[in-house]
Amino acid sequence: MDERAALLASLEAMGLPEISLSDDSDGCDVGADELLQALVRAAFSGNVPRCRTALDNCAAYAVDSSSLTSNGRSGLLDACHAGHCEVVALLIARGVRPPQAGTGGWNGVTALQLACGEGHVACTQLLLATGDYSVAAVDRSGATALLKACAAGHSGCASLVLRSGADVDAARPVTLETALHAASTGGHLDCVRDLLRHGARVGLADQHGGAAAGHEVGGGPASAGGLGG
Amino acid sequence: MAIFLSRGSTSTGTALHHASWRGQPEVIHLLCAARACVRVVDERGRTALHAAAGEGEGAACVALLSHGAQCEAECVLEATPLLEAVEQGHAACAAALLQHGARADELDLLSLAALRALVGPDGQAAVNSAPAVGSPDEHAMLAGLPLEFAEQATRMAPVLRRLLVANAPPSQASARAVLRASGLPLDDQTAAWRDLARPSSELLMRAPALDAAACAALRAATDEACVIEGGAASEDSVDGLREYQLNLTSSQLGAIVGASALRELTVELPARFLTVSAAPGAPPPAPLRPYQIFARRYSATTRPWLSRLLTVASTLYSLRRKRP
Repeated sequence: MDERAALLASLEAMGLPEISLSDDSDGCDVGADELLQALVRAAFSGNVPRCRTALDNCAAYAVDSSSLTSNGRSGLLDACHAGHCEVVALLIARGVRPPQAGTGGWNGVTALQLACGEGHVACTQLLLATGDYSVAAVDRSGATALLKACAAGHSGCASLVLRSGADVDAARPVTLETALHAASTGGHLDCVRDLLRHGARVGLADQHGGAAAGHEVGGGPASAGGLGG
Repeated sequence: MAIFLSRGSTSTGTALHHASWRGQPEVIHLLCAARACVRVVDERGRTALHAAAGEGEGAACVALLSHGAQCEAECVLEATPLLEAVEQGHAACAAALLQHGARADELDLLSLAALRALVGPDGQAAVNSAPAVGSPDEHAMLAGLPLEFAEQATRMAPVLRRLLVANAPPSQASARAVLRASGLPLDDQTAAWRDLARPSSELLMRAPALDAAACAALRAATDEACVIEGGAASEDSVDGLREYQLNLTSSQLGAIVGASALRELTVELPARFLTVSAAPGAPPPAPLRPYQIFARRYSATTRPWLSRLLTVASTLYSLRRKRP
């Protein structure tokens, strides 16, 4: 059995529909996307052996397994979203790295933001350990991994990114919403505690209230309030 | 319609505002322990206590009050937390605020009547110092309305319902309470707020502009466009019901009311208005030109609660300057 037939057989074994691999030796776009889609499916379902096979197939056809599929997904993004840390570990070990900035999968969200937003602590730890994922990165709505973790009340992930140097007061550009606003709205006490421990400023106002932050009504000594650090 | 159900203004502010309007007393304690200031205000001048009271979060009110939140704080529209609780019909918040010394005697009479109905016998002691006023029987009024109107009336802000549906005397409500309940965007509210302080000569001018035949023609045209054909109906910004409004161009208006009435409405009346409102010694202002012409028609079948307007006002001609 030649290499191409072996590849088709392995894809079929993974329950994939029939695919057509281009015979072009240099650029095989259709085939590349199918290979990446196979990786995504294996990663999303948390199937480590299939991921290994999919990675092997990518390597055999010189397809970069860090790339996004045509619909903006990737093995790493899906594994982080679903919280399969063994898959994440495998992908990282096999050299999968963040896609280039601006390639725009999943609304511009990074793997770290996905893991934090879903509360997958082990995945977050793995990603942070690589040093490839910036805690300052934002998605298209301007949300950092910290804000996503705090909005959903995932204090474990919030704590990890804070210890990795995340800006505790980072705000969305238009709404000026910070992680403390998000955690307070949701009533996530552990997140609020952690943010305050890391010096979050309690006097920051979001949306158009920015100019009003620090206004006091009813006079009173300026020191009485303490408008936040 | 949603303007009566959610105010939208509560979604901004500091973390303390967020915790307050979402009713998170434990977060409030944490933030205050971290020296968050309970007196900080948002863009509307509302404190966290306003936010909690306006959303009916009693536990959040108590938490804020325990950290020294001030009952007498007023927002830019001069509402106290107690007034917000009353206007939104939140009994637990009103009771908590009264217990912490909120002043009931500074409320307008309609709000006071609503407060008495809210807090019941237990809270009467705090309210008793204020003057008594008869509470309009809203339930009886609602029961007497056709179902579709009764449902709409229950969605209105309480002060509007008391005025429009229960026919409470307008002198019992403050104009500012009505303005707050209108659900207008903040910019419009503050503009109207400034207008309330203008001299009455700038606000009112009685000037008959249309004769009976012209009025009848205008009524018939509006009925035909909005009632019979069933078209041209958007929602009224105050009571949320269908607006019976006929939009017209100058020439269409002229065809309905006649050339002389058109000239009176679009040229002579605006000129008289300018004369009345001009500052003494100021250079003559540019003449006013109509930028929007429409006729609105409310009758007993489209607005059952407008009896006062229907019986008193024959025609209401309103002249508004377009904002830059």
